[in-house]
Amino acid sequence: MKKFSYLWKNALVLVLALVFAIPAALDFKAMQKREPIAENEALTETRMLSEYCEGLKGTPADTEIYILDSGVPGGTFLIFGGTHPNETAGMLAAVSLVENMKPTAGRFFIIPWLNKSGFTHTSPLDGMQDFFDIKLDDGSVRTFRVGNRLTNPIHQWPDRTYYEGTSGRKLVGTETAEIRNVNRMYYGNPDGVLTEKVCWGIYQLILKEGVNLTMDMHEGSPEFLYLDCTMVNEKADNPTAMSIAQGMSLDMEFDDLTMRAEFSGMKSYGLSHRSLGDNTPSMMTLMETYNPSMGPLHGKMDDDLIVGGNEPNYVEAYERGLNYFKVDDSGYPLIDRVARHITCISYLAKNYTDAHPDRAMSFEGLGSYADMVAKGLGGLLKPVGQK
Amino acid sequence: MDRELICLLVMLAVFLLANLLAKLPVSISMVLGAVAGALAGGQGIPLRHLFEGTFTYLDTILIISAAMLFMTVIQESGALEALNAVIVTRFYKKPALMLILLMFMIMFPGMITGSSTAAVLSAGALVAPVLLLIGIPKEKTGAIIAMGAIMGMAAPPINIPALLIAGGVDMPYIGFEGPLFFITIPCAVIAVLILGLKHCKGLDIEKLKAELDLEIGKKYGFRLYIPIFVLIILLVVSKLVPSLPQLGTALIFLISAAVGCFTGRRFNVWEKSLSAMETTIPVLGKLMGVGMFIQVLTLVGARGWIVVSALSLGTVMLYIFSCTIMPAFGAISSYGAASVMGVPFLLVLLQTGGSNDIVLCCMLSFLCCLGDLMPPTALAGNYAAQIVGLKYSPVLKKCVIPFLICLAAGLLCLIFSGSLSFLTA
Amino acid sequence: MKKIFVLLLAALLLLISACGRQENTPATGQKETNAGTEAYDPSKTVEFEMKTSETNRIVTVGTVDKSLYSAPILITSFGQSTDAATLDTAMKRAGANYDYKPQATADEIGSYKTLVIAVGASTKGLGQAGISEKDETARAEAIMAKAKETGAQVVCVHIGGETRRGVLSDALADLVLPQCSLIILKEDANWDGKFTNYADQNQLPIILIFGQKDTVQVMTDVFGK
Repeated sequence: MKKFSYLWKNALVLVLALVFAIPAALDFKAMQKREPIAENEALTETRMLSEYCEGLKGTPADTEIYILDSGVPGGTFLIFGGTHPNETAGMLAAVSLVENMKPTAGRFFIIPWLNKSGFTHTSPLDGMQDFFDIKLDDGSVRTFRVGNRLTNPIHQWPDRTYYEGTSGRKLVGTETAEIRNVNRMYYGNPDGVLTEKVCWGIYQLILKEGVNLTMDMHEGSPEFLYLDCTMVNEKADNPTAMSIAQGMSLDMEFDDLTMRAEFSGMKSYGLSHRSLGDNTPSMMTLMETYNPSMGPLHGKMDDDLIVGGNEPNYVEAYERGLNYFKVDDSGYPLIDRVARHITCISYLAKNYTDAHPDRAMSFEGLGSYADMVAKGLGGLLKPVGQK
Repeated sequence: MDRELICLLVMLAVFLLANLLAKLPVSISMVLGAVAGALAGGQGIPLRHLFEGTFTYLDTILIISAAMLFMTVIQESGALEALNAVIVTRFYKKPALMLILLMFMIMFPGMITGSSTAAVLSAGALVAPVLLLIGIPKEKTGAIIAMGAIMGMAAPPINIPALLIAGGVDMPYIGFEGPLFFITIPCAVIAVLILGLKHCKGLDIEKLKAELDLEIGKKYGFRLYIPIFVLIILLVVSKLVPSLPQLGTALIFLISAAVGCFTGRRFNVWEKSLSAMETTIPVLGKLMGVGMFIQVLTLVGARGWIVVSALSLGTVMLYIFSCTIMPAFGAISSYGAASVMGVPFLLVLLQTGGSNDIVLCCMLSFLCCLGDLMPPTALAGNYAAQIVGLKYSPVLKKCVIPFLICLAAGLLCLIFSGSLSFLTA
Repeated sequence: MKKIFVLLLAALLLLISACGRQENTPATGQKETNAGTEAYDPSKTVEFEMKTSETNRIVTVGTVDKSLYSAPILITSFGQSTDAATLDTAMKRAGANYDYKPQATADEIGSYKTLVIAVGASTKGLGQAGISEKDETARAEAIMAKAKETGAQVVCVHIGGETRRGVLSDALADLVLPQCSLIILKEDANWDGKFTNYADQNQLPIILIFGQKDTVQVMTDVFGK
């Protein structure tokens, strides 16, 4: 009798665990489905990154590349968001470009979800949301994922206590988890860990397609030093690259927007702007905007924080002199950040074209910064047939 | 009142009610507190978050479980008893050295399991008769065991509060050995000498020998200690030669435990493992509960709220609270102190500049560990008193002076963390 | 007894969290240890009266003699900050004829009649160029010596703002100032009056600008066709 009740007790505990575990598992599983993207007549072709790195085929890290070719000969511009999936503005800027862009010169390769595996999970203890909603002007709602800056450990595990990437970056001590960080493993390795294969895909894409200019879109918490800032590697195109970037910075300033340009750090081994800049002919840039949901001081996690970009805790921290980045009461809504990314990209293309008229690249379809902000995300994003 | 404050209050209240009134285990109480907090924060019952928080410390849980198995093997095979005998017969002429070595014996299981309870119940139970034998009064013996267990809990390689704090700020648990040894070893030595030295002068070795198990060491000889050497060698090699294939701490413990099954007294591995796991499960459950608790705390914005509130305290007040409130929180749970207070305190102290993040984290965790002496739970004190057959208040009274010394030492290291950064290399 | 103790403890805890909210220490001076001694501290705002403003963006003190600055013109950098690249872009937009050599050596400058020098040090920029602070200072000294020899006109351009003030930046500026005939300055860098006082004492014209974008207008005015 005693043995019997013991069995039943254990069975009951198991059943109870399952009652909670199954819905939770379904919740996590939902993150593995990619967001739909609206059609754009100007879209020429969609490829997968595995075309540039065989090893990615069939893995959860293989991701879409949207190609928009103007048909007018010129340069090639590679733009990607979602290197760090929790840095939402980069992904949304890329999606907005794919859905709205009308290229008028050159070719554009756009990747919205670069670390696709990272979009399938969130970071423990950060209380991050998995999804957020944008209500479109036609009344429909589009849902997007907020992921984790690292590859999902389900797809790449365990983290090694020592690893040396192709850039020479040694991942040891405080950096071991970075073996799952796309922006630490460039220029990648076709036989390395999954994250390195993503890096290798980008590296090969740049080489095979003759990419002239690359933009890697990021965001940072307010504690970070380089916000509203674009990092530039000068080595590949010395010293024109920085003049092009400063041209962008001046153009942004004429629009009353701050976007300083800064040299890529010499020791930023494994980061896109450093390692791809050093190892490919492309001019490499990486942009950062401020994202309040990423910082350790963030308050309640909800759509308002992610979409509205308003965090009073950071206003207070700024007033006490604890962050460098100026945070004020008005917040930094997602649409402002998305528009800033797109505006920066458009001015980079313009200044690149001025410096290299034979490699012209330009596009229309999104309007100015003010136009985009006036439209809001609801107007910028297109309906995808969801009701 | 801020909404975040309300959430915090609800979470604490539900936790306390469940733990103290309903007498539920700490882990379950934390789950209830987390669920209540999520409800109060307007998040419903966020299953995904509850699960995510729970599994944050999966790696730690694997390490503790493996370490516990290793501990059991060492104890059952006779290695600990043999070590006791060796220490007493070799060092009885140098009582200070002997006391220090016995203190390290008490610390050892705490060091590798990260639990003061484990230290008290295993090595503490073995060392207590020896301490009583050499003439140390009961209440002081209890105090030595309690202090030793706490120092063991704080000492590397496993210090759970440090793991919790580091995990909370996305800092890998690496490079902590130096600062943790730096603070725990001197504190342990001072504590044991203050409590025991004056009682053990002029010892009668023949009387001591009669009480010790001298046979086990003779019977098995050096091979009794092989698992300990395997453990040390594997841990050291993996640290010094990182480019070798990595076994991971959990596997290293398991390998050493497996070796230990064949080097000493025979015992029923299966049964002893089961009972070892049974004593560990509440600790593991606490870790899971703490993870869930913090996840919800962050989700509803209460963590950010606490940090910003702490920011406005000013550095001096922050140091004062670090050495008062944090250990005091140990009355509920020292793990809870680490994650609820330790994480924000670390974030704020980092902002003051000139500090070293790893040293700060170590010292904060050390102050949290001292909480295991805080009544009413006083985990270490309670069990230590049980072993010497006393109520816990006389034992705790004897702990006051060493406790205050530890507090002062911890605070000093916290303030001058920048100058101690060489320890993290 | 136990319960009372724990409840008291919890209350104490909350009190601390709560009382933290009320006091509001001033923002200045909180970050001293992080910022170091000489570096610019963004959390400190130094109050000084600016002549330029959002609406009055360019202020010229003294008279600028455009005829002094004849071609050929060279733009170079002292300190390898990004400001030289801004100058390059601004000159291009001004339609000026010039050469841009951020790392020009003294030997290369012999033929130039006008030197436009972007002053301001950046550790990142120096790192990127692989130049040590010592070498950069030596290069700057050599160029200034050569300029004295050839009699080239020197324009000191400091457009990095207050972030571009520090030991090395100031040392480089001090090399250029004694030989320059015009100062172009983003005014927030002048919080201690360093540049306006120098211009005043030495009867030098100084053009103050409010933002970096105003460089385009100033370059057009001074160097444009």
